[in-house]
Amino acid sequence: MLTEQQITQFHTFGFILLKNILSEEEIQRINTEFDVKLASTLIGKSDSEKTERMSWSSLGPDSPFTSSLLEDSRIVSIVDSLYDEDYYGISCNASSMVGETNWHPDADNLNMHGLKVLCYLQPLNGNNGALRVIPGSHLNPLHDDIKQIEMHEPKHDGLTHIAAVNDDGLGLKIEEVPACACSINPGDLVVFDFRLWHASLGGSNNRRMVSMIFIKNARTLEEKKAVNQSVLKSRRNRAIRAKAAFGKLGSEYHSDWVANPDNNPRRQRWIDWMREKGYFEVYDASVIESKN
Amino acid sequence: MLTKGQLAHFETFGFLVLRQAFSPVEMKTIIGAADEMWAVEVGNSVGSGENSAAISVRYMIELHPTLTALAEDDRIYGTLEKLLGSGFIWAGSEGQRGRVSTTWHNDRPGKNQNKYTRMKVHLYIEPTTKETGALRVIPGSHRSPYHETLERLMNRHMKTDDGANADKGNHVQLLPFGVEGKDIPCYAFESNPGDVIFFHQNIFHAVYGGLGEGRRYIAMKFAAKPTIDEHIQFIKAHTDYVFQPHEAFLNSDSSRIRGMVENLEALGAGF
Repeated sequence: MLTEQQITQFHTFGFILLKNILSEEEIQRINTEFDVKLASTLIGKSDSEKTERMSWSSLGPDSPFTSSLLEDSRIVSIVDSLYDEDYYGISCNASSMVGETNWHPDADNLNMHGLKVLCYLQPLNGNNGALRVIPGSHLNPLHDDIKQIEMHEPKHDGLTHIAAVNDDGLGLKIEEVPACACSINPGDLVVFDFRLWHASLGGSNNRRMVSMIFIKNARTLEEKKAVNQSVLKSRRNRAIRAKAAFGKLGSEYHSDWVANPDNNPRRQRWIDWMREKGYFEVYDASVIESKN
Repeated sequence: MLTKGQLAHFETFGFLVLRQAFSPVEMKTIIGAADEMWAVEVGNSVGSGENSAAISVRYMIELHPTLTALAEDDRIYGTLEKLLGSGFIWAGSEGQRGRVSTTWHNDRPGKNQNKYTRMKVHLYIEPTTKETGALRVIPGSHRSPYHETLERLMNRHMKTDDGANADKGNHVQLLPFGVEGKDIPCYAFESNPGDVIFFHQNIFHAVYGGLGEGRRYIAMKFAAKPTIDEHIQFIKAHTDYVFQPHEAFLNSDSSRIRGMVENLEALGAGF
């Protein structure tokens, strides 16, 4: 459970670092499962240098330990503290990251309440790929005002640039945007609000992380609209990543996990909600876009 | 002189950095003048314990012609004209030398104080890093409501400048976010001589790290032209001395400098 001060910290700055949550042995188990899965991706099977991010769902029998993290009491207690047990755990993905990630929030609609719990598998600092965040940027006016900051290459969400683009190439580079880097060691967790502006710079072409996503139960009409928008956008992004990693689409959720063999009521609640939102359908972005 | 991007940067984050605004040759002259001022030690010693070697010189800019030139230099004056608007006023200067750590605070606390823009301009004499005395700021914290949520950081600052006498019985209040001041999320203005930072005095800022005895910086303070009674009251609340500018500035040959101070006595006399 988080302390009252940690909860205040999260709500004020939009993120929190939690040290030494997972043990060395647990990190090693995650890495072992990661190695097997990475080897099965297109890049893993290729001899060429890795230039693209590989990402996959870990909710299945081939990643038993990683899969268990989404419901691990240490993780769940964090989210319980922040969202009063009124939320859905919707994914536990592993990623092998490459290169930099330009500045963006995962949710631009401030009625979208959700968070990510990140577990990196190697030590990271500001020079080798640690997550950079602008503290407090999950809320307005800071959140929206950042859009007027001219950046060198702001992230494109597939529809538009998220921040202002300087046409002369003079915008701020990633490292020039005032922020703090979340320096971590394996076993630490970074928990951040979807709406927080973040980026990363530097690091190897196999920067490993596990990312767990939790969405707070929407109560108001605005929150429900925001969640529905976010669900649609994330389905598209996940479909693109699945095709990039494996060359084909498929359900992100293994039938064994969805079967919920232990009849866990919390997991069942999550599954029922995700089914309603269409998470278990195979989403083909190219078909949808060609129809439009 | 400032780009649209720089103006947006200041409005959004509450500060603006001009990297290498002054050349090494210029900095050598500025540093020489500053060292003369510290050598005279016209200021008062501040702090206690490890801060006992610190010196703060008042009228740092007003009393040395080389440093006075900074106040009207296009790179400073011109930038301020864009950030504060025309008719901005002079609010004093200081020259800090020595080990001075400062817990999180904003310079002008109080209800609505952040609605009236006052700025500080720092030139550091030595290179600084996050762990060796760089100014740390919380970007965007000059604006409401973020500003108000951080006011609890002032609890520790109000105890003492370096928290040395922090009330251990009130630990929760002094660590409102559960972490030490050095671990509060922030941006560190790591700098080299020649860099200049302009910051809104209501932005939350601090200094931590291993500070050497040689840590030195020059600071100039400015405020937007006061246009309503509340602005005058805000100035009086924290910096009543603004209304008694140094005669060196009142009698300056520079129209820019005189323009920043000539109405101040009259403004203050009405309150």
